[in-house]
Amino acid sequence: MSAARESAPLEIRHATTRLALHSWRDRVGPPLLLLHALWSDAASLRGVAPGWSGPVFGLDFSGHGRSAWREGGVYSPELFAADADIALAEIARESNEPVVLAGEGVGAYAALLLAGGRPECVRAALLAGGRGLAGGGGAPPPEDRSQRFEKSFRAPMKRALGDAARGPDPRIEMAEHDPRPPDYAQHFAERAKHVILVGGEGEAAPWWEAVASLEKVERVPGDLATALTSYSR
Amino acid sequence: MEPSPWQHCAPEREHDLSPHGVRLRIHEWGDPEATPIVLSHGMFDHGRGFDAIAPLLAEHFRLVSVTSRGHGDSAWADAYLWPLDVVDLIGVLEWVGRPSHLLGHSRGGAMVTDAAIYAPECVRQLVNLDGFGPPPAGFEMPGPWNDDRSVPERFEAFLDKRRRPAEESVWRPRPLFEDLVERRSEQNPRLSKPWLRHFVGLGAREVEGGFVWKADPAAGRGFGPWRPDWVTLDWPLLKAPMLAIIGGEPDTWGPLPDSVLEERFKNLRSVERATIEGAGHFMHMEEPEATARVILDWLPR
Repeated sequence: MSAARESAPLEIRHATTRLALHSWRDRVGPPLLLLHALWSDAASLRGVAPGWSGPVFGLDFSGHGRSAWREGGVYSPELFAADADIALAEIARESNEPVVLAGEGVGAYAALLLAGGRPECVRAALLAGGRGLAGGGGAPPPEDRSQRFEKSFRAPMKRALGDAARGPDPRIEMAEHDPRPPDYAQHFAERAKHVILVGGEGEAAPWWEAVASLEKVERVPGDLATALTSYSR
Repeated sequence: MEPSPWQHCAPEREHDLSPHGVRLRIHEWGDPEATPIVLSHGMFDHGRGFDAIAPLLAEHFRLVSVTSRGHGDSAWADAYLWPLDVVDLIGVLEWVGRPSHLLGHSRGGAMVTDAAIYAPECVRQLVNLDGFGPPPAGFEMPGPWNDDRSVPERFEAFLDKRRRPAEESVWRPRPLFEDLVERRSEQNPRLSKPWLRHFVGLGAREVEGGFVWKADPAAGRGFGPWRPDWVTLDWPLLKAPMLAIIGGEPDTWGPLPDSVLEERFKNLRSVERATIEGAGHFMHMEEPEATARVILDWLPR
């Protein structure tokens, strides 16, 4: 990765995916990969780690920022984590050091999945609140299911046909309501090397509370910037 | 390859439709003005799996068979998710333009049930051919799928597959067409070889080095926390009456134990049950005449 890439993101073309990976600081040290909230983009996190000692990257998830809309329009935290995993492979071309993940909203949940899925590649995952953090809860909700299907799937699929591929893909909506069972999230936290929940008072997502209940999981107050400053010390 | 004995069953019309951006192959039989039945096939099957039964139903109905994204001659997507297949199906119903009956097999049976729940304005009645979800403990998948890895370990395997370059995310060619027939025969031992040659022939293509399935291998490779007991959560919302058909013989993918079926059917307002004796999970392929008779007796024209 070169400093020249700071202005234009690195375009990763992989299978049917095209992802924009922003390289914001090129230093020797532990790499940091920032994962944004739903409906946001990497730029929203650009200034969050001014004191980080290693290289800093920000990824636009598929359907967001400068990354392509996903062909067929499927969006889920698991696929966002797979996007981040493609970025990990790219970062590993220049550095063998395990990466620290820091995510907000759905980026936090994707960071948890990736930290549990690739424990040897992820040194720590810092999880903070934001859009798409909670998902649809621990299981599909018992009521308003028909309206939920309309809102999450049918209407966004129609909207995506009318929109030019600019701005976030309307079909991202479906990742705001996917079920996230607490025990499922716990499995990932248990396999992860280090999970840090940032703030989160009042978030009360069932998966967040379940992860927080694990002895190995650390909780810190404040926001992501504060937590990263504290972690980097 | 010898001519298929089901050649005379070939669809009368074939075209493509992209209701939500992904191209779907549509096959049709019967009078375009007749009451429509929209058909949905099972996992890793395709819309021509109805070849044996469609001409029998087409004497009274217009049949519109949809091949799901990532299957048969329909286009592939980057990833697959159940509700989007349902939305595709609803898109076809909207294109048909008048309330239709729905008929689905296996995964397609569960899919038409969901389509009828979420788009009641498009649906009259539905026929579900053994598509009542997996057993409560999930399917016991044969071969390499059957493992005891933890959820994150299986997710790591999913990530490994997503990391593969496109050229490695395809089927390994089998040298002979007959190899694919044998593979399918192992999974569906009740289906006759002549039928499998017809069915597999339409679901495979020749490439350098042999033959491969047309279906996207990624179509069965999603990852998420879905659980079998979520199958019936929305069934109480179903307004359309359902004809629930199973085969009388035990088979690879079904039927579910009667106690499980009865428990699940308690969620439905209106369900009538039928059993095709002497047939297994693929009753519309094994016993098309008997299956068609039951359907024709039940569906209003």
